[in-house]
Amino acid sequence: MNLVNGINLWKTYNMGEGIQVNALRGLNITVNEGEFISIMGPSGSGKSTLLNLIGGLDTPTKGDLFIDDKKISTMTEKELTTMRAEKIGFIFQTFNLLPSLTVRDNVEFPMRNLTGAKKMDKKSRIKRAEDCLEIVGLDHRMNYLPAKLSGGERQRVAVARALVNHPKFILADEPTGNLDSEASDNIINLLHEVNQEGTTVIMVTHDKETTKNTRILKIRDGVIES
Amino acid sequence: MFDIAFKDLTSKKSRTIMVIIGVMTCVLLIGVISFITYEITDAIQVDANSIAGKLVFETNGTGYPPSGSNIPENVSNQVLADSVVNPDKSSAIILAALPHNSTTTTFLMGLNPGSEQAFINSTQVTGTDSLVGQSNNSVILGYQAAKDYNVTVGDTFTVKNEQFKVVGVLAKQGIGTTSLQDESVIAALPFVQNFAQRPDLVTADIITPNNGVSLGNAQNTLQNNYGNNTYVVYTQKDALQSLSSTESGTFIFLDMIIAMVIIVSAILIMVVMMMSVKEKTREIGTMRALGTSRRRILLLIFYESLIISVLGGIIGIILIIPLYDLFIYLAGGGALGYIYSIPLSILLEVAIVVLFIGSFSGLIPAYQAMRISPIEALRYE
Repeated sequence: MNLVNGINLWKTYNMGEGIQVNALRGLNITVNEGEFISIMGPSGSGKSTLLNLIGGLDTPTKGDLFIDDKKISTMTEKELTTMRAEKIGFIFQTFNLLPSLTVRDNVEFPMRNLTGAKKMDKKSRIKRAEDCLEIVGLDHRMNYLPAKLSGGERQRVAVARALVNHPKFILADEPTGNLDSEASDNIINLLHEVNQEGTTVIMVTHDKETTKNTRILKIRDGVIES
Repeated sequence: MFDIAFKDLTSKKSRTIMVIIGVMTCVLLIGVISFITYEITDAIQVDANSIAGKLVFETNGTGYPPSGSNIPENVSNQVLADSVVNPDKSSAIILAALPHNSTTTTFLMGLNPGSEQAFINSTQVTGTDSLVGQSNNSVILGYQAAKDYNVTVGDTFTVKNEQFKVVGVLAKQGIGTTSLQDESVIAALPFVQNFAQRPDLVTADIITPNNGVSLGNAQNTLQNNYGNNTYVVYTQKDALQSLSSTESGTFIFLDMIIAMVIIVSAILIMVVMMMSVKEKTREIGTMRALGTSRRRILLLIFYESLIISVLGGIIGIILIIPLYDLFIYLAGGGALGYIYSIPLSILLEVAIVVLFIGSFSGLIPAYQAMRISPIEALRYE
């Protein structure tokens, strides 16, 4: 089943004074459930723009993008927010943990964004956060603030945070970009484990080493080459 | 989001403490100024109450207290002898300024011995409340006057080569700033006329109507019989109006200070919250990416502003009394004793101001935060 289906996607940015930049130029993409996708390409090729569209942070200028069979260009801001909370787990290159919250609170945070039937009470949220931290091997760091952790540990917290809401897919934007090779291997292994459990992973990367056992999509000048 | 707002604030301790101190200072200023206003209002009421059920016959246009009024003694005697006047509870009075070293003015109040109740009313007294049978220079002191001359019953003090013998000291009236009675030195009428070198003159008549005569009737009768556009008969209501208009400039000035303090306080929190939103741009972007709604981002910033205001407000309210007492002490008003409790009206006023400052000043930064685009925020360095 198609989890992501993008047809003839265009994204044009107005830079002012009549200058327009096409970040995506009729890009087509299909991601099936359970896949591990690596998106590669040079800087400015449109990788981040594509990730923003798939992540429901932005909408295409032209073309149709379906996420889990829902057309995102017709979704309201509120629906996009709910979709991000329920269906997507984000992992950023710079970890983006909330500095004033402990590791446990950081992982618990996305569950606060669930609404309706998926809403959880505090006790269940904490239990789930602790379970996820155990999965990434950081159950001994639960009460630490992010500033006290190494880069690798922070990214593992980010993986745990991406997992807590049982997302349909995880979007990882250069998750190993700020890590040494050992920490990098750990994170990639972790993502593969998550993928084997059934969660789709879409990863943007510059590092060929991290793309083993994944379907690689090369993007250049706003279109997918292969 | 309340707990996260709280954690955000505690993670930036120094800044949070500084802003709380800022808010607390503003609350203290507002509280102390409100207290001053409250006390002046209370003193005005006490002064006006001292002539409740009475009339004051005085020179037209002198207001209350009638310190600028002058009435020939024979006119005063005619008024006091009128059939609508109760002679036992009415008296001619004469007011003269009595110098001392304090900042407040003391009035030397002369009245006919035996008619002291026309002015003293039911105020508690140490010693005697009557000058009948006392020596010529005997005086009954108001609370503040006794403090100013540092004397008590049985003491003597000298002003302008005249020796005064204290036979009674009155208790303080009300909780406010000192009233006319608090600042008075009550003596026999002829003694004060002689001291003030105003023989055959009195300042006013304090009149209690005879039994069965209404206040309105007595006022009309006296006004018609003795007014002649030269004199006027004041009621308690007139006195209250006169006293309030005397203090209206002070009230406007104090209200302006309060308004300025509120504005400064609101701007202080707003600037800090705007800085906080700027610093948090990336975090807000992350929260938005993780599915936090705009409304909850708004609440986060709003709560932070509210927590700062409420904490500053609570500490400020707790410190109002000691600060006010210190203020009174430094102004020479007496020893520190934390004698007052905060009137509910001031507590409510400060609480409303704090909530207004907290919510209003948090609103613009919160709206700013809510409008942040998650994509821009995630790119923010």
